[in-house]
Amino acid sequence: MTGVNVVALIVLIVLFAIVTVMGFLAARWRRPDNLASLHEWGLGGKSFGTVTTWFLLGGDLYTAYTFIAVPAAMWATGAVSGFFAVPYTIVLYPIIFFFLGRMWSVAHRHGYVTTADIVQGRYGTRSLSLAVAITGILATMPYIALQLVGIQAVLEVTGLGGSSVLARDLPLLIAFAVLAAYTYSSGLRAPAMIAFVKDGLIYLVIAVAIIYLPLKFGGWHGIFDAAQAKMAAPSAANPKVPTGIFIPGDATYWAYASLALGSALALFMYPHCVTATLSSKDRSTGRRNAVILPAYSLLLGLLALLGYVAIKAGTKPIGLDGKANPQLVIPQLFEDHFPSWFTGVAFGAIAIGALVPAAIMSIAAANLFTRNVYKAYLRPEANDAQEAKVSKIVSLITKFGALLFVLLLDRQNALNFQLLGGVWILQTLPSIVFGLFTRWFHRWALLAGWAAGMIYGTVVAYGFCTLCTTRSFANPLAIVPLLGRAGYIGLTAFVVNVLVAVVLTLVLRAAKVSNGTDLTVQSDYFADIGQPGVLRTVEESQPIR
Amino acid sequence: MNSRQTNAGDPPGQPTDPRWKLTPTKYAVAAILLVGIVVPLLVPTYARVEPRLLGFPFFYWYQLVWVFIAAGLCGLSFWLLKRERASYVRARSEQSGLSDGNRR
Repeated sequence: MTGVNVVALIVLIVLFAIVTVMGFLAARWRRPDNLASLHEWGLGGKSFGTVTTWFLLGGDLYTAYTFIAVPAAMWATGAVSGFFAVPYTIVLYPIIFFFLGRMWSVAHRHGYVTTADIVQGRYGTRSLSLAVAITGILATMPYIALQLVGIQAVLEVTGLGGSSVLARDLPLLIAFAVLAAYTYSSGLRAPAMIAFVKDGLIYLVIAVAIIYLPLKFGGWHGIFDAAQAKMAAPSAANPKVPTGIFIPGDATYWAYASLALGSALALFMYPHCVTATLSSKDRSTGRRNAVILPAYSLLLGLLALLGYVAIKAGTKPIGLDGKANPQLVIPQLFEDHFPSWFTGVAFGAIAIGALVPAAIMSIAAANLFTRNVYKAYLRPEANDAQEAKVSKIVSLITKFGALLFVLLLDRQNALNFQLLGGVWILQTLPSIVFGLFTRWFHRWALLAGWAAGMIYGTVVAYGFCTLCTTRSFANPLAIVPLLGRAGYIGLTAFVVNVLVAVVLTLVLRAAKVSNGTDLTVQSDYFADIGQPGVLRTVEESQPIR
Repeated sequence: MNSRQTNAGDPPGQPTDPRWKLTPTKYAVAAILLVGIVVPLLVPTYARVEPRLLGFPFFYWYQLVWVFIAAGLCGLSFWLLKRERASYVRARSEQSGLSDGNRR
């Protein structure tokens, strides 16, 4: 970590320049007549086939931050905080397989752009769809901020930064301005196109790293042994407990499983995942992708193990400020053991890997604001062009907010709020997904369940964090009431949420309280392109209320 | 509007689309997918070091193998549903035009 790694930096800049050009050219991809509608700008014209969707979702779900944070967690504390990402992405696909088809169909039939639109169509209740929209926006903001943290980590290891604020933050500001500009001009087409480059590079880098590095350090057996030894050694912070967990024991089974299950349930409630799903061109694209997206899970699993490789390699992730920072462990491992030019490629892959999800997230959050706050409350008469305009501006504001977050607040805050965002977004699942299958749940019961889950999750994450030694919101685990073991707070809150929703639904149905107006019919949930007897999309400009 | 409980878009109480009904295929698919969700989360069944494979402790390689199994289960589900949909489309085109699309 002495001085700037010039070769790596040049390769990084060249790759960055290439994707920038692509981002601007993307506006012409499958040349739409008119980009000025949310269907074109915000959903890429709903034209993406299986392959494009695979790259787009892959670029979206497996973010740069994932590639930095998962191995970092493995390096620092082992399996329960890091490797749970593998069962998480295993159970994710069977879970989303259940509802992706119906979600796509009803959105396609009615021209819905966001999850809150779907809720609005099903229950005709603005407060419920507003709750879903606000939760989505709040949960997405820190997620965008984390992508910037990923770029920062790479830049820091190349040696950019130092004492002056300007030198440290200027590269990030430039990357950011470029990202904002092409998202503004090209919409969802930009990340879709860049995702091809990003994923190609990531695959290349991981393939090389996973073959070359273990050979260099004497094979996997020794690497796992080194990791086991480190995890069993007394923790530096508290010598009474071991550093981490190599293989979960009795006390941590539920923590491991609940983190995986809760995260998997939550992921496709995030606006950016829904946006990428709804942009596909037919009903089966999402499900077909549930079959082929696990390729990325394998990648993630192998990448997680690079955290153990770094243990064996004795990587020292010391930041420019002289303090140890686990987030730097993977960039540092690459810099130590790859030739400079390949380090540049790897860093480019991570940096570009941050741009794709950041773009999609800001588009998705902007769509939510436009459709479910602006159009629903402020300007019901807004037309397509005005919607697109508002979305473009809001996408800029979201990104700017994320930037301020990273520049002004402690990096740990972005991380903590992202954890909290995961707890929150999971609470929108009953409103979004249950409605795709049944109208049994009552709208006010769903709203009350959402509120109960939000409050429980936030309070527990803030106050009663039993396992943490660090500040509030920093730990996703807490003791589960009745079970008496540590579990994922989000999943416990979700159970509270569903219980409240079920009990209140029974009460409200017995009291015969109106359950809102449903704009959808059953056949909407099976609509597909080119099916005989299925009409084209219901008039897209039709108001959703 | 006051006491309306049922789906306002559909006539109350009756299914308007045959595909909404649960079929044996759908039960089979749900069972297959549930296997893919539940089994990988049974942590005690695989939380151990031996037997190792290529140096990987059992805990680690077993989960990586499940990536492929889960993908296979989704693939099987996809195929089953596709088969059912094809037979539905065939049956409907034989009824020539009496489809839900005309209802709207």
